[in-house]
Amino acid sequence: MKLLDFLKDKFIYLAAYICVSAITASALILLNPAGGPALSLMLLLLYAIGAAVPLIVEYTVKKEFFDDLLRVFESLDRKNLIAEVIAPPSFREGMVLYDIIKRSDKAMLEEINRYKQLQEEYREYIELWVHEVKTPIASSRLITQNNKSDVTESISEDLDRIEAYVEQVLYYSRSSTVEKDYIIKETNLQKVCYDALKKNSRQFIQNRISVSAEGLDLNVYSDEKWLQFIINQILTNSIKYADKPDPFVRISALEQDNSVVLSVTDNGTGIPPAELPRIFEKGFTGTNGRKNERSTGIGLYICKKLCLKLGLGISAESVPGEGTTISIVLPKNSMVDIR
Amino acid sequence: MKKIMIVEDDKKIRDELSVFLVRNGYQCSAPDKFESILEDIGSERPDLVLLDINLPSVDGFYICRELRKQSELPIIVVTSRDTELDELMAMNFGADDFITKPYNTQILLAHISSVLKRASRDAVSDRLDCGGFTINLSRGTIDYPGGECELTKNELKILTLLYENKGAVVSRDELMTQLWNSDMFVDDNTLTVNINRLRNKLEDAGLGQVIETRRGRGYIIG
Repeated sequence: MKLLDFLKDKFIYLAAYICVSAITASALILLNPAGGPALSLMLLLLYAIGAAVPLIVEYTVKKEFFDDLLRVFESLDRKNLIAEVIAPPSFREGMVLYDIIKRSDKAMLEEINRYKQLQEEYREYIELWVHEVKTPIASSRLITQNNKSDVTESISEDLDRIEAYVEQVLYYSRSSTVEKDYIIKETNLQKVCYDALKKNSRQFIQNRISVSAEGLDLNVYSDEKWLQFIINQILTNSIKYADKPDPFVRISALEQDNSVVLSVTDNGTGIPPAELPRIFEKGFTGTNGRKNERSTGIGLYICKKLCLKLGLGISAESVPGEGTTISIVLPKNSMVDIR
Repeated sequence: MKKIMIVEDDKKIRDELSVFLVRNGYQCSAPDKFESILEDIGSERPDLVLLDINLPSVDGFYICRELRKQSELPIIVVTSRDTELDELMAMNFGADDFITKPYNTQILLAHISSVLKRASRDAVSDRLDCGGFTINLSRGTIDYPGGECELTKNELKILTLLYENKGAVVSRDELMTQLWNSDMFVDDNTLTVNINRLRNKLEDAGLGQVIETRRGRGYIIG
């Protein structure tokens, strides 16, 4: 708070004070021409002191409070908590302000909590729904298995797709909550990759895509289920965008000092350079996606969000017409090796 | 014949799973009441329990723990809940394995047979008698009068699969799917190479044309 600003606020008070002082001084001089000027001078001095002292005191108190308020506010990560961290002021306007901030913060927190709860309820419902819908999918699977024919084979393919979409819903809701519902533990990369490959075996075999998965017998720190979902999404894309006469997908891992880089390389359509930075954005489908009506622009977006939550790095490289490589950087907690 | 008990509240799954397991050479029982499930399991004495965790009247984890208290009976937990936490819980309550719904039926079979194998104390036969020769599964060889011949992992799996389906045509896709389920991610070309090498090895061993091709359908061992 600047002094000038403070004085501007006090303009009426100061103007009135000066007027009254001037009138008093003039009256004294007029009534007593002999000793008047000296007396009025002394009186003006006293008036000035009388006015300045409370102003200075008030200015100091207010300056201290407002400067503190601003400083704390600027440095605060969550601005709405300001009332919780500053000392209550000792002057009246400050108290009113303090009280209002406090009450509005409280109202806002309540509002946030209401939404948090709504979101949480929604997420719980989605989880429940996903688990419920898996039972009929499982029984349909068994029925097709028990009655093998071209028809049920075709239904099985669609069941694969339904299952993939259901998984996506589940992980979408998981990726966007604040709750920490994953478990980071030592995970064998080979097992996760193999499980993801097996999950897509039908697609790989029918589309005659050759697969190589080597050098994956490494341990990393992550949530196995989440990681499998991420790899599964990447494989699904590789299958979806395979366009060469002899398509391949290669999964490999590169061990570094504190991390393992898992790469999934295909020789599919590839991604134009201009679109590459945007492929992890929500709803981004790009030129390839628009050709392929099954693209929703959600898969890689969820991958990115899950990676962020798990503390993994994810990136893409691509040469249009030649193929794409998606890399995931996984932590390899070296602390545990000492054990 | 191994007996499997299916503890599952969804009637359709119960029925279809029974049909599926019976077709694959298991004996099945699938109760539809769960209030006295522990006693039922006790009297039925199955070799393995497929246990759904989300049952209407009792908690699956509770059943799991109680069963484990009483015996070493192998338990595979089947559930639609798929988080790491659920899996850890199941393992902590003494389950031998954990599979999430909707499962790939071939993978379910693989889990069942590996859990059963681990549980049975008596050595499971690792030799498959094929008439003129035997397949030695643990050593990965075929033994025939006058010698033996080493097979690669893929060749061994292919030959075993064809023998297990003796007299029936096994399609190339079927062979590939089975190989994939055993972590061998072969493609069309690799399969052709594997089959040719296997044939050559069988012929070199003086066993003649064991594997016949049925054009457009697959392979058969008669």
